[in-house]
Amino acid sequence: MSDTSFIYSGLETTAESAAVAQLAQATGGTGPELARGRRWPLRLAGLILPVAALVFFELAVRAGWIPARLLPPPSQVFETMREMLGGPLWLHIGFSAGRVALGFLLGTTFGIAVASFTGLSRWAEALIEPTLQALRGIPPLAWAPLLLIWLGIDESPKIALIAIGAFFPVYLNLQSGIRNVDRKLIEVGEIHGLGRGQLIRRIFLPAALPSLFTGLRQGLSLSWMFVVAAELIAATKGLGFLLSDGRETSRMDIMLVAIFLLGIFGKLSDTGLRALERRLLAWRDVYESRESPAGGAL
Amino acid sequence: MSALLHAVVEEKSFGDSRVLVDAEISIAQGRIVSLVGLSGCGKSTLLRIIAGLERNFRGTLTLNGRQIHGLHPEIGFIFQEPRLLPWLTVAENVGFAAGPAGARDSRTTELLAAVGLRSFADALPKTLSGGMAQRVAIARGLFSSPQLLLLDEPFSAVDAFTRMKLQDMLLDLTRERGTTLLTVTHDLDEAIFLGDEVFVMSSRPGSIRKRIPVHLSRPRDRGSTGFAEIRRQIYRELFAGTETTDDYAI
Repeated sequence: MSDTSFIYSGLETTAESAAVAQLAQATGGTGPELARGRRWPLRLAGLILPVAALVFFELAVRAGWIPARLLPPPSQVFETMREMLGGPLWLHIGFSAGRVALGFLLGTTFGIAVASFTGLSRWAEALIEPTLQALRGIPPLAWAPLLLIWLGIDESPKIALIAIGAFFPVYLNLQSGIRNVDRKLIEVGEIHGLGRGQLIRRIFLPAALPSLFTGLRQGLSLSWMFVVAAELIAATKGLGFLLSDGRETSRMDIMLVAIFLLGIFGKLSDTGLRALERRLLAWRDVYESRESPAGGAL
Repeated sequence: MSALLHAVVEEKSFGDSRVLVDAEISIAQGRIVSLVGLSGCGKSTLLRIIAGLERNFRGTLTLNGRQIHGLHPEIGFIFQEPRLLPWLTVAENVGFAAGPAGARDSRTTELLAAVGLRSFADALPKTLSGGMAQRVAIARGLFSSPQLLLLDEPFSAVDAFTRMKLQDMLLDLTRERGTTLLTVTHDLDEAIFLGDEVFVMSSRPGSIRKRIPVHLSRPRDRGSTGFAEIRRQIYRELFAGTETTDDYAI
């Protein structure tokens, strides 16, 4: 064995291999300083528009171009938020986030379970898929009045609504992900003698993981959408409740605080999911993960 | 000389077209057989039937004197493309047959050294060049030391220089293990360089037209007159009965 390794060690030192090794190192996070230096201004560029908008509205309201009863100046909105953070705001945030978390978890669990079932078994697909496709045509919000009657007005109907919203994107993406697993990779599993269970665990699931994450991210953003809807309809706590409460008491600043926070938390949870996705899917050979010498996509 | 593999494919059809009719292959233990034929003659289909990847055909497969049905642990397969699992590291791919512990298996370390990729053990497939990926695929195919290794145009996607190195490597690795090889290729030089015998297939429907023994000492010289003579013989067989023979004369 040592003889052959001596002979073929020559292969490893070709210019091509060296370049590839260098690339592998670069994607490992130790990119050249030059690229790092150029990336910061690009990140900051995203701040220009929102900051400009805040300054513009602040000036416009103060100058009287926009009536303050329609749009309180940004400074006042932040002042209101600062005051509320000392009081009940965390409670509202906690309720909304908790409902999203529970509903999302529930819908996702069902989505993954049913998609694995219908994705891997033609029989299960024939049995379940038509019904799900029909149910899918119903906008999840249409269930809201019915859920209120069936489940009462406490937490259960809200969580159920969010779960229904999160279920479909997770289900649809994972199911098609499983169905679209490359036949060539399945054959690799077969050649290595994998049984059905192992084939699912070692080929189908990892191969369908990118699709699952697409579904999870869609499902999460829908979860935030439906928590607002549910809280607008019937709630005494939550960011959606703050919105309707602000409307009834003509507190534009409170409504804007709620909208701002919904944006922040929606974005934060998506960022978390994306970070997880990047870690688990680092193996993908895709445009996003490619590192160009100029330090960014074209 | 007892046959390790005896395959008889009476008929294999895709829809209305009959791809293989009365194709029969017999390979003795430890031999290397190259299978050549014109594009679309069914040589890859024949290989996939022997591997157990195509199960819908009329005929019988016998390995070591016992009839087999479908996939068999003593039959390995190396595909035309590397087909590495992109979510596993190079070492995990090589040791795939041994499950999650395969990456730490001593056979993995040994094979990675043999194909010159020891320092890439923890790399992901996306960082490899085509030639390197195919070396990983060869190591993976040899991991569980199958008695019979099937190769479907294994080096067709790499450049000519890399191809010759990979052919040398394949021979070294399989000669020390005594692995029996059946290689499908459309590269006649490759067929002659690797094979103890070259089987020439006829087309539509495909069957084995001629068995040409390669009595050349190893290591073989691709430029020798004996090599050229066998190449000429295969050409004649490939195009026998077709009008294009002269165009392809050497």
